[in-house]
Amino acid sequence: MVAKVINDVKQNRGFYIWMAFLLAVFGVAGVAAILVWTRGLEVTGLSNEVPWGLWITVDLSAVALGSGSFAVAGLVYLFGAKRFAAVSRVALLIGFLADTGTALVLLLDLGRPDNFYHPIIYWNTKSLLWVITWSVILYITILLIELAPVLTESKLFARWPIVHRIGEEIHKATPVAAFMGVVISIIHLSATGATYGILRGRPVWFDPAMPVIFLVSGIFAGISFLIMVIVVTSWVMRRRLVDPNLLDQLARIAGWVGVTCGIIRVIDLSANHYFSYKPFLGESINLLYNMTPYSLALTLGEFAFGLIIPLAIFFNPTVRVRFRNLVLAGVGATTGLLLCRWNVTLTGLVATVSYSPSAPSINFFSYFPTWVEWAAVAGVLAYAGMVYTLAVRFLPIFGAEGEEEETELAAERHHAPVVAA
Amino acid sequence: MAAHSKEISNEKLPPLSRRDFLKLLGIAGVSTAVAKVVVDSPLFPYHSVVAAPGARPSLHSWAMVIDLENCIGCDRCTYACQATNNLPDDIHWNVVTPEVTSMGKEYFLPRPCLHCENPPCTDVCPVGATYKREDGLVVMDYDKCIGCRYCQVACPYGARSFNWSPPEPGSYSPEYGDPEVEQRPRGVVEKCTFCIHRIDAGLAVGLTPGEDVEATPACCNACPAEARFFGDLNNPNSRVSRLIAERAYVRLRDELGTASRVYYLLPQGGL
Repeated sequence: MVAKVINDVKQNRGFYIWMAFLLAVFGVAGVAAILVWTRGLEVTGLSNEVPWGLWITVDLSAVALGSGSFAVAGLVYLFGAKRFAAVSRVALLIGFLADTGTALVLLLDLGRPDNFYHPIIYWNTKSLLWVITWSVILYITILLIELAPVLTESKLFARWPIVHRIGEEIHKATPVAAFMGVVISIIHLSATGATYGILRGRPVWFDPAMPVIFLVSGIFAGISFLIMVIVVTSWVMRRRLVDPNLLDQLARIAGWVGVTCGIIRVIDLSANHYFSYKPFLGESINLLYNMTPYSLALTLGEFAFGLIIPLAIFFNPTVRVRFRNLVLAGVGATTGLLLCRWNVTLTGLVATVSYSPSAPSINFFSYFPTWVEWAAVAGVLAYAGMVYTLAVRFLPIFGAEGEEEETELAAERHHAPVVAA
Repeated sequence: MAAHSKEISNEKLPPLSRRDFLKLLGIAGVSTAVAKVVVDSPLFPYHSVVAAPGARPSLHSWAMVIDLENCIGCDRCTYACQATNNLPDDIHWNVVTPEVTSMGKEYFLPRPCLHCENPPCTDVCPVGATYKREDGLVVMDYDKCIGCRYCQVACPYGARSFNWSPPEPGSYSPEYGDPEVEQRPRGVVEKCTFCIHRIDAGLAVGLTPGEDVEATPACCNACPAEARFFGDLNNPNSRVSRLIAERAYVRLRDELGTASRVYYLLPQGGL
């Protein structure tokens, strides 16, 4: 037994170093979490003027990056493109990690974590936060149903055939569950945008297009992120995990979603800042331009990294053949999404309108996350990384275990002629 | 030619079967249900400015009138509030800020919670911990609150405070706490209640809030400059009703449709 473990450590040294690193991050994050739960939210950089901060941004980004799961489920079960079932398990796993990570961060962000279950028993159906809470709960349940066969098919349960049969029974519900998952995810993603879009007291946020922008940009970043994760995983494992042709088709779909996202963004920006006048909106934005790097830099960055670079790659068949270009596009889209969410969550909080009846003005507040907030975020990222690594190594995420043993080089060679044809 | 062939193809269609009819009925029912859900949902932009249909007329409709001409900015309303509601020193339910009119005249603007008729905060609370009472007062249920702070983000007036640290007795309130007001734990949001503990207790023994000191919010009692009045808008003879009828007033950020219950009488010369 011990000899087996030592042999495994020798063979997969990278795996164990990575795990040790993640465990170290967990340690720091655990200290941060204990601090938050014992001393309360005063250990964060939040204040009455800026009550939401880094954690909410991370939640919104995680939900968006996990949206590749319902995009793929929709492709497979609603549009009947069964070939994408090959990437559905990894997509669902990313969605699961994103939503459970969101739930973990939300648990830290609550002033009364002991009352976390209240949205389940006390309903206020008008509240978007209630919608989001229920979406997270329902979608995690649905993902568990869809992912059940992955667990029950694994070698862990090989000696109890009953587990395998239970998994198959649960799997029969997958088409219905997938449909429900698509519906709930669309509500969930757009509700994250509407959370800000309905706040009429804050001119920077109040915008009926917010739910649509969050939905479309989320799907775009979600698919790009999924492609990136698949490629990076196949690099690390030195195996061909997914048919390169399939990734090529996914990249094309992501490209069209990205174009839709860009069109909606441009229409929304011009409608708000050029074709109409919303009280205090222009003033707030001007103040932000003058006093901070927020907003303008973030918006430009979002367009450059989040749309122009990925679209240039996704729409160029000779460029998107190369795996490293797909990764570049994924990094760009992810960066763009983070900038977009950070832009939305922060600008409306730091620039608010005063209530003075004679001379209404824009108030400016500042916010800097403390190490506790960063550590908690790192901990949740480490959680996602650890579960993903363990799942890819020990569970049949990419087809059956041991199948398709090919090197990265072979994958690249295999890739090129398919697209050239 | 094309139209002709279309007609022929139409004739070939089989007549509507009972099954089809039931299907159509089902689709109609589902669409109605979906439309109803959409109209009632928070994404529908038009309902919150309109008063809820069939809302029960309440016996009372509390309101506060603040005379910007008379206010001298002495902050006694704030001190009375801190003492009565047992507030720690870093939380203020009532704040007084110096302001300047467009004519350059200085005045003071006290701001309690405005108790909006269409409160943005109650719509966003995921657990319904903050809600509007029948008499129009927007209050908190501290036991339900999960401390998500969405109401703070939604309030256009910054009238809500979060308990970042465990509550400590403030400089103005007794160390043992005021037993009449509910104590707030760490991690919940709190705000001005118009002193519901005084209003409700006063009504129970037959007093009139706004006229009898025992049943009136502490800030109005403490005001030495006749700048702050409280009363019932349902009673046309109450002091607040008469002041609103006689003098020009403004409500803060009325363009948002919040329809707040705090009326500010304009200083001389206007704002």
